Amino acid sequence: MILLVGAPDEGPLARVMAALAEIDAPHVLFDQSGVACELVLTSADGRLGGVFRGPDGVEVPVDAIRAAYTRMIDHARMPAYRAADAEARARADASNQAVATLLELLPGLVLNRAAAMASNRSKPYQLALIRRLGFDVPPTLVTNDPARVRAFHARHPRLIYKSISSVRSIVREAGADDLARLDRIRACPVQFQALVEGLDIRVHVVGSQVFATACASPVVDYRYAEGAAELTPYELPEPVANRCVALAQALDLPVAGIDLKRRPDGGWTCFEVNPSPGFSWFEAATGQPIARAIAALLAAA
Amino acid sequence: MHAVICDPGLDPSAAWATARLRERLGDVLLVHLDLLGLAAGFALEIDDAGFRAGLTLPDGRRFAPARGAAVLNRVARPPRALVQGPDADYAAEEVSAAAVAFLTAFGRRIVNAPHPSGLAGRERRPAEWRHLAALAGLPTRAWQAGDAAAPAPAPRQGVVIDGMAFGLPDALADAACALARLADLDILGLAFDAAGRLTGATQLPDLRIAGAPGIDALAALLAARAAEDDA
Repeated sequence: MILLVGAPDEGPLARVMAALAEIDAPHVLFDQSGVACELVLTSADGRLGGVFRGPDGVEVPVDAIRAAYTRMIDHARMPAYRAADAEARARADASNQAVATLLELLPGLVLNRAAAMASNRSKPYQLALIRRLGFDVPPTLVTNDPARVRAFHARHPRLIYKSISSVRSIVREAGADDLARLDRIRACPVQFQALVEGLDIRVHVVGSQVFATACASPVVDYRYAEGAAELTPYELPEPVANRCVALAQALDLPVAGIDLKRRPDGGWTCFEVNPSPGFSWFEAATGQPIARAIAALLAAA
Repeated sequence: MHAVICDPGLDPSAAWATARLRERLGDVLLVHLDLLGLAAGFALEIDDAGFRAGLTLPDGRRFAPARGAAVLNRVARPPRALVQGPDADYAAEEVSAAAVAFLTAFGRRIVNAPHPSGLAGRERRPAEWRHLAALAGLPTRAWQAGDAAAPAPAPRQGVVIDGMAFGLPDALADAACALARLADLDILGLAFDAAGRLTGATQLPDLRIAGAPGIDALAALLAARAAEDDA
């Protein structure tokens, strides 16, 4: 049995669920958008037990769950939770906590475990790992010292800045106005990177498969190109594809979204690894069967 | 020079350990954890040449990873962000993320190693600790996730430092060390109920439990790590 966790109308989860149905792979959804699902998780002497109960009366023993795919959300923000009475909220809180614990402890395949996904909570932490694993990385400076930024800027005339943490931010090029107000960074360090020219490539790794998409766009951050981004399937050179798989495996992320840039000199720079990629935008634009690959990986576990 | 990173006002155990480490290792810096991300000249650089980090201490000295010096990580909370108002939560996340990367720059020369889920090492829920403990061979109570039961009294506490157990009977010592290995921690604190079953674990134990032998082990560990070559 495969456990899915999240909200059923969320893009990637909906696509994986549909792909599992296509291949008749037995699965259940812990629907975090409602309060009707229950998970009781127990352990005695290191053996996990308990039961999943769905809203349709379905019951699955925990020890029958051999794989999981998670797109966990904050259940407490969902309208159904907010509208529920105190008793139902308490049950939902306990079940969501049990799910989070199960996803860490389940002996089978989990796409992906929270501990592995945490690497993206500190981008320079993750970038240092990426560098150690053999990818070129953009020259990066995290500092609260305006003088260091000026010196960095002197070496790298075009800079971008973006969040250090996993809080989503729009990647922007530092302009004259930004550089004129550098004194403000004394209150909080900021991450600067040399702007790397080239073509953005998003690589989705699923097990040992890779799906690469070229993202041509007139803006620095193609995610915010407001319809002007052009996504097309891209054939990665085999050594680069192999390095992407190795990177995802080293980060313990069987499913990963790797952001690369193919530089004009033919080299490759890796910016970061998204541990819970929202692949549906790429799949819809390119027809790459990412959800099917995830479903097959889960079914094979 | 070795260092201890902590908030000495909130961590008397770290202050106690620092004093005793100085007796064994010579000068040991005490670096306040709020300096991570906020000290003058705080900087992380990653490029083809490597991963460098450093900050300027209030006395003007530069604090940075260096061969010959190791760090005891007692970062019990994220550094305080200076930004207030609507951006306060964002700034707190940013400073915490910068602090994790800074601590990581020490590589093997930091004890315990940080993790993005926890500045002093990977955070685990109580249920996860008990599950891991059972796998390590420690007696544990059966549990149900989400149990809201009050923490059980812990009449026995022990500390594992570099594969040596302190404050624990022989019957628990080997399994306690096995748990520290499973958790990938140099230092691990454990609490047991009257029946000898694990009730809790922490990456930030009260080092005073380990006493002088524990400090000897910690000093030896820091000295050994300081002497290691860069990976």
